[in-house]
Amino acid sequence: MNKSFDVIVVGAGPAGTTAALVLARKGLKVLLLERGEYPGSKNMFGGALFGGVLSQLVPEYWQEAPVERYIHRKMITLLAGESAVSLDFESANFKQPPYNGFVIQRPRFDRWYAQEAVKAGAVLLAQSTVEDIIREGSQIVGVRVRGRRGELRANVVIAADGVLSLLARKAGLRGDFRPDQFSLGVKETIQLPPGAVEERFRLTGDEGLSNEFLGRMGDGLHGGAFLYTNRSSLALGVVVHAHSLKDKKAAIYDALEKFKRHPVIAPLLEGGRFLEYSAHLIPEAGVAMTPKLYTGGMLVAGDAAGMVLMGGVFLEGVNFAMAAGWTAAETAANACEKGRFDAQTLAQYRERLEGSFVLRDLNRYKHVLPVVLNKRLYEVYPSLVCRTLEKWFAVDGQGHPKLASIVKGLLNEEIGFWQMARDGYQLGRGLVW
Amino acid sequence: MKIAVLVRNVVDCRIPLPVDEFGEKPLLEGMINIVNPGDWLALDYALNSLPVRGDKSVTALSLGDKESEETLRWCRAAGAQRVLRIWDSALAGADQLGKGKTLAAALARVEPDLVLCGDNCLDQMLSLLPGVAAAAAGISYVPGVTTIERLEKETAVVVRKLEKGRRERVHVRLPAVIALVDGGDSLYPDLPDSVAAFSETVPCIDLAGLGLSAENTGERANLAHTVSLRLARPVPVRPVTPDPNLPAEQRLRKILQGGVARKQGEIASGSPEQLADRIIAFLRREPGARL
Repeated sequence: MNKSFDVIVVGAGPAGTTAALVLARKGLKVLLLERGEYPGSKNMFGGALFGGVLSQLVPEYWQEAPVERYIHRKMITLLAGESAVSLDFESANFKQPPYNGFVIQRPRFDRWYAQEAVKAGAVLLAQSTVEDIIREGSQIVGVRVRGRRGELRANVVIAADGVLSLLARKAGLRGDFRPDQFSLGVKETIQLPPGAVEERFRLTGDEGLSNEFLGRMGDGLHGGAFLYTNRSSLALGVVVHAHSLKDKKAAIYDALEKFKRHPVIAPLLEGGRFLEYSAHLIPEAGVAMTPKLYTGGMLVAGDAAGMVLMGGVFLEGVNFAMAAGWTAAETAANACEKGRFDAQTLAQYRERLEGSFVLRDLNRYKHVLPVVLNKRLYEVYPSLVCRTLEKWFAVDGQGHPKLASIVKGLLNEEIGFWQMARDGYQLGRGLVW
Repeated sequence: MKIAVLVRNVVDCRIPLPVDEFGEKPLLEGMINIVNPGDWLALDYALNSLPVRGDKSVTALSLGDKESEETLRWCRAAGAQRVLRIWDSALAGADQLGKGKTLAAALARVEPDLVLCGDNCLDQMLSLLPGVAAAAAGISYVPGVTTIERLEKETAVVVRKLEKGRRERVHVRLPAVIALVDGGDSLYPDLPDSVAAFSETVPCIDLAGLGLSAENTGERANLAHTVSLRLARPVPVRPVTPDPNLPAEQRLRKILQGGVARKQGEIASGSPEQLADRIIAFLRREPGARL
């Protein structure tokens, strides 16, 4: 059978659809395969899209794309047992086009985005789960789809098939994963009574909020939580280290239930109606888990290549996936122009990524992993900060001690100054300098 | 022999439909459009089981907006030689009579010897369409057919399913619309065929192309019009009488609040002992329990 496509893209998520869109616009024959009933039907993430890359591809995309709210307010909250401390950042600049980010719902957004690729000339085939690659010598020349006779061939296959990328594994580009390289995220969408989103989160019009939480999630589980405001519902969930779940033999839904019952969170959900529950594995080891990104006839992009930036208080994946998809498309288009699809030619994919923010940021934040895995970040510091402020603000007729004496007392009680200094250095190395 | 298969694009209502915050209106997002399963089986029957002597060509027709394109692409991938989408913006609010007339005009273009469709349709309104189209075209509509025993150029002998397991054999003059209750096995289009079908343009014909006008078949020609739409009345919630042990002031306050808060579920977690304590404490709070 002749090669019927220049490029086959596997997975119609942000990375795959971006690759298909760019390639189709260049006039190449591109096939976009999606396992779900439609793009987005099986995709899941927290809810925030940072559209820097997208706005270069689809200028003023927010005019057409199904976005919920623009994010003009970002909160970071340290969560202790009964209390919380928040940093609440709000910027008028984030209210202006091109906007810093949006809250989106993947079933609607991904479906719209894939149609942009179709309009550009890509062929989209849903309900097609790729289960194997076709090799000729050292070259990958196509894929096979589960339950369907026949095979699909192309000069280049772009594997954007998600975090557990079967294709990268089949191509021998990655080995087995370890639990400390992943987090498990679970999310609920909760419908609030009309007007409640605006009232409870001080929002007007299309304004939106993203709130990330840090603290102990459930019984000794380490991780974070998030809350995003949709138009009339909330997306909230917890993200817990997989190794923590394994060690504690705990269930993540217990952690989510506890998060929802926290005295700071529960009032925000009052009267809410549960709409949807979903779960997703998140690759968060950055460059430590990046597979080999190319081989003869194949490139790997997005979650499949572990391209998620984990910064403790921020977690970004969609914009990294889009940038990687775009770079993969440029590389594939260049290879098609040269008529060479061997590993040596496709090696420029890595070089291009190193020149972009994708690998630069993943390298820049490579020391953040020990910070994220530091159990004191969840077990000690959030409660330390909360207890300090509680003691300082409490008016109990005993007089106000000075802040330094409270901190000193609690530090000695909890971890000691030197341990905090060591953790501070680790945090600084990971996130600050 | 020219076979036409009427294929309806329907919302998959076998899974829970997403509704808005009031639980009243279905939400577009999350809805999945699928090929009506009965029509898909009819297509399979047309392609693989129909007892045709000589050549056979199968055309799949679908009346619907752009969403129907995917349905027709799958039909093409499965082996239909030709597909045709029939749509005009004037048909969006048209009643079943208008749509049926339109479909009849499309059938006149295709000039089939036999028209097949599924007897069942997930969408109740669309289930009328083949019958109305047959009536508008002036041909027979034979529902509940289990098998087509014999097929000649101008006649067919079919077996119809009746109540209590009875069957009747019917002689049908062709062309006719035959609605099948069973079909072939499910079709699994091959990959190259699927890719080819999804790379093609799906032809679409509008009212003008069929020689019809919006005045005769569109929304304006509807014989019945929706005057108003009323939502279902909410089920009245009986206010719970406040606890008689409470002081009068608190009882009054609870009544004036507009009733007592609806009882909410409670999720308990912890060790088995803790859970047992929670359950006992919960039951003690219940007015009906006597612990």
